[in-house]
Amino acid sequence: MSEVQKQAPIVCESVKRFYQQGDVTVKALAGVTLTIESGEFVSLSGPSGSGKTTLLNCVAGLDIPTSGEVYLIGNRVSQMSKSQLADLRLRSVGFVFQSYNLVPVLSAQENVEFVMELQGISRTERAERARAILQEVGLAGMEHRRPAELSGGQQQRVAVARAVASRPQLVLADEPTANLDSKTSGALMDMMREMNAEHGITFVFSTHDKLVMSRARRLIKMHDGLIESDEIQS
Amino acid sequence: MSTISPGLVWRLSSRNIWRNPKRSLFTLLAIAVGIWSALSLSAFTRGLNQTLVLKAINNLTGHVKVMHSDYHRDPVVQHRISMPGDRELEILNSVNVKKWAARVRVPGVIMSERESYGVNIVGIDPAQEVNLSFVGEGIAQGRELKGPEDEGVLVGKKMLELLQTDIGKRIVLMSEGEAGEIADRGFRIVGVFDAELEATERVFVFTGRTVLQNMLGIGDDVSEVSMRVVDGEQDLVKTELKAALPNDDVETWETLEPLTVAMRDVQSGFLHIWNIIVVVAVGFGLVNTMFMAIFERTREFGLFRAIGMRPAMIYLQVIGESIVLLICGALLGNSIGLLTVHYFADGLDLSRFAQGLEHFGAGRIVYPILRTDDVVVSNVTIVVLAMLSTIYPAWRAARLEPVEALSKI
Repeated sequence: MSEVQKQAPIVCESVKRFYQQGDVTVKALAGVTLTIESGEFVSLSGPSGSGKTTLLNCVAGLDIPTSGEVYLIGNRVSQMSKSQLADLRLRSVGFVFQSYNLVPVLSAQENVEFVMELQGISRTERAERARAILQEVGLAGMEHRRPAELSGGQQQRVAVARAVASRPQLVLADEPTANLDSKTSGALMDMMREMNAEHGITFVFSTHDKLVMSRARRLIKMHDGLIESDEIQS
Repeated sequence: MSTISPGLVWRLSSRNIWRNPKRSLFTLLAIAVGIWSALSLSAFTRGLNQTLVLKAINNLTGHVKVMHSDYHRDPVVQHRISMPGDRELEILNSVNVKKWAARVRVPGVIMSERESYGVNIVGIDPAQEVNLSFVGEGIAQGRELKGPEDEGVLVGKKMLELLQTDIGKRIVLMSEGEAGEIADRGFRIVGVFDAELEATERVFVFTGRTVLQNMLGIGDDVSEVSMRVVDGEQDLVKTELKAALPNDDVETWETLEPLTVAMRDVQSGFLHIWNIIVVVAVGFGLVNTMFMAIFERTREFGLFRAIGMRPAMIYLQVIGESIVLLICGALLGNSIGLLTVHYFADGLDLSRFAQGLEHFGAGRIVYPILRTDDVVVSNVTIVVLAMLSTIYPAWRAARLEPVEALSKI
């Protein structure tokens, strides 16, 4: 693999991740080789236990592969310390989880500002950027609402807004539409696609949802810890 | 590197407290009650101790007492001392001694027409007893003794009842005379004193010092010289007197009233034990609360770690929550504590328990005494231990592995 390829947001080389559950060894990832280029909009799909979440965790440096190498935005994950990884995630990776995504004691705007505040961006700049991005995701006027005062779809919009507000190169989303109805899911996907198109942010999301898969440009299917198919959709 | 944003830490800490208001309120109350009980209990214990000590000192003991070297062991008429001479008077009239009195004090019997009881017959100069002992504080009925030559007798309220006699009636006092003979004479009861403690009212009978000296045939001699000294000068006065009177016994109240000293120390010991119990209870309460708070937010901490928050910031956030709870609890506890002490500043009437208290030698009214060092110690102990008890939960929160934390619902 060339050095140029390793500068891609995600490069996985024969990544294996085994867990020991009693006497049984669970092969969550059985050898995944994958490159995701900048600006891609990728869906990782597959049944439960196929290894989607484990792959996302290994890519983000939250989990350590049993063997193989992961390169995250040109950095060899296995050679980085926990704090270096945390810093890399803070600077370059946005996260959207399936639920419990937001900090309940912070308002929508404060949630969006959260990552920027950790990055040390000034109060004025982050407030400006947060308001702009909330407007972009259609939540203008709801800046001061707490998560409990927002619907599930609105909460996920705030989560996406937070993930992209810090201008990461890559957004990893673990089943972002799992708790949403199809209409809301569609709207959220459209919004992420817009972000992808306008800001050039690479999106990788794991999903069960046919609708989500249909909107991805690249569809990777996993099964038993391996990539079953990898195709570009028109 | 991600920065530690104090503003964000503060926002998260302070708002998370109100995330579960009931639980936070209970924790806050636990801290407040802990400090309040530590403060009030120390104030009342100090107060009780002080009445205990004052009663003991008032009870003809004084701060320092001079006696014949064998008098403490066997308080008979033969074990007596001379009236203070020039050298002693120089010390007794110095600035370090507030008041002093020379008394004759012998064991004897008081007899009315109906009853007789063993008592301590005390010959006093009433003027010397003012501000020195309970008998100088005035009497309940009848009149006071007018001077050392007064031939009247003062008995306690309880004794009057026991003798089934009254003011104005005659009684006989009997004791061993100087030569070992029986010395007795008739007296008239002129007054009755109320000593709060029945035991005191039963034990002492007072008459003029010269009258008793004459009855016993001991000339100008006395049994004891008792004095009150300026605070903190007790040992100095004792040393000076001992130097002036090498053959006599000079003792402080602590030696003469070992029971009072023991009671005082036991009560201080209970106070420390109570404070430890309170601190441990509050500490456990806080550990539990913080663990519950962290358990509920495991996923949230996982999220924080995943997006790159430094463990130190999570640690500070949890510690921050405890600090806010502690400060609020401590303020509340101190306020209620001070109010309680202020409310009872005029004395807490323990009449209902007075029978029991008598056995302790304490009076019926306790005046709480809040000492600055007690306030500081109560607060510092509770705050420091409560802080220590949140370090572990905070450390656990900061050390959560993001993947594990995120998989928790």
